Amino acid sequence: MSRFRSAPRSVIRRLDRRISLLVAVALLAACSRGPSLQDLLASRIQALSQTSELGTVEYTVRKAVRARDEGEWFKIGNRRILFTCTAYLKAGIHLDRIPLDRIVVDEESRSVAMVLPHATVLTINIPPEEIRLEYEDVTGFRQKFSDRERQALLRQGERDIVRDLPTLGILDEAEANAEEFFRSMLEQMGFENIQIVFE
Amino acid sequence: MSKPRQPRESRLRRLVLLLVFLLCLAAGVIWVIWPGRTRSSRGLQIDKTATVVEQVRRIGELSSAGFYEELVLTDRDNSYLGELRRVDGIRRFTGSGDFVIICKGRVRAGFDLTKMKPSDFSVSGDTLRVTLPPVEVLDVIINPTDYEHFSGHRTHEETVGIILQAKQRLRADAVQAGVLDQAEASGVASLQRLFTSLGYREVDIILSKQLPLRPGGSAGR
Repeated sequence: MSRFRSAPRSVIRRLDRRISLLVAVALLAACSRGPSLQDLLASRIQALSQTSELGTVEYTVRKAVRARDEGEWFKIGNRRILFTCTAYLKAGIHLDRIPLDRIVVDEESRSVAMVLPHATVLTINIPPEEIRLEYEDVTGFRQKFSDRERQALLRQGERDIVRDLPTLGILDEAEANAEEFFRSMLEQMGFENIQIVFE
Repeated sequence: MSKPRQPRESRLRRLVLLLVFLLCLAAGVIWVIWPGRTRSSRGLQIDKTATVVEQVRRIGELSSAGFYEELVLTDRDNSYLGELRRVDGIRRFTGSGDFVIICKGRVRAGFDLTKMKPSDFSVSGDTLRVTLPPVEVLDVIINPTDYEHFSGHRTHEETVGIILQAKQRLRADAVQAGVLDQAEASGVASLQRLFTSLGYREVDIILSKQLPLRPGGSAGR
C-alpha cells in the first residue's frame, strides 16, 4: 500500500519541477521583445529617377481570373473563385534613344528626316479598385481562399496580361501615333517635308 | 480419400484471396497515382481566359521623372481582442492579428502634351518658343505583383482599401520628394536637346503655371 502511495508523490514532485521550469521559460519569452511594427514601418526605400518616355497610346483591357480547387482526394468539397480586373497599358518611345546625330535638317526646302526608336510598353497599371471579386464558392469542409491564395491568383492574372501583350497590337499602334505626334509637332514648327523612320 | 483434398482446397482458396487482395491493392495504387484520374493532381487550377481590349486611346504623355518607394502598411486590429493580443506575452502565442503588407510602388510624373495648343509653338528666325502644360503626376502604380502579404487576414475589399491608402501615401511621398520639380527640370532638358538638334539656335521653354494636383483622373489610378 505504501509503495502504491509513494509512486504518485514522486511523479507529482517531478511534474512540479517541470511545470515551474516551463513557467519560467514562458515568463522569459514574454519579457523579450521582437521587432515592433513601428520598426517595420521605418524600413522604407525611396528613389527618384530621371526618365524620358513619350507615351502615345493607352489600351484598356479586361481580364477574368478564374480558378477552381478540387483539392486532394481526402478533402471533401470544392472551391471556386472568379475575379475580374481592368488593366491600363501605356506604350510609346524612349526619347533618350532618339539618335540626335542622325537628324537631318534642310532649312531651304524646310525638310527634316529623323529616326525614332521602336515602341515599347512603358507601363502596366492594374488599379486595385478595379479588381473585383465577382464570385467565390466554397463547399464541404473546405476553407475560404486565403489572402495569399487570392494574391497568387491576381499575380497570375497580371502575368497572363503581360504574356498576351504581343498579340494586342499595342506596339504598332504606339509607333503609328508617335509618328503622327512628331509629324504634327514638326509641322507646327514650320517643316513641310517630314521623313520619319523607326529603327 | 477426401481428407487430403481439404488442405489443398483451402490453400488454393487462400491463394485466390491473396491474389484478389493484391489485385485490389494494385488497382488502388494505380487509381491514386494515375495522372488525370487522381484527385491529388487536381490542386488549384487557373483557367485560361482571354485578355479583351476594351478601349484604345491616343495619348501624348512625356514622362520625365519617376519615383519608386517600398513601404510597409499595417492595418491594426483595434477591437478589444486585438488590443488584448498586443500584450507581449499573449502576442507571442496568438500573434498580433494585425494585417501587414509590404508593397513597392511607382509614380510617373511629366507633361500631358495633348493639352498643348497650336499657339504654344512660335518660331521667329532661329528661335523656337514652346509653352508646356503644367507638370503633373501621370500614374501611381501598385500592381498585384508589387505587394506581398506579410501577416494577418482581411477580405478582398479590405485589402483593396489598404492598397488604395498605400497609393495615396506613395503619391504624397513622391510629391514631397520632389518628383514634380525633377520632372520639370528633366523634361525641359530633354526637349531642349531634341529641339536644338532640329536646327534652332535658341530654344525657350516656358512652363505653365502649376495647377493644383487633381485627386482623380488618370493620375488618380
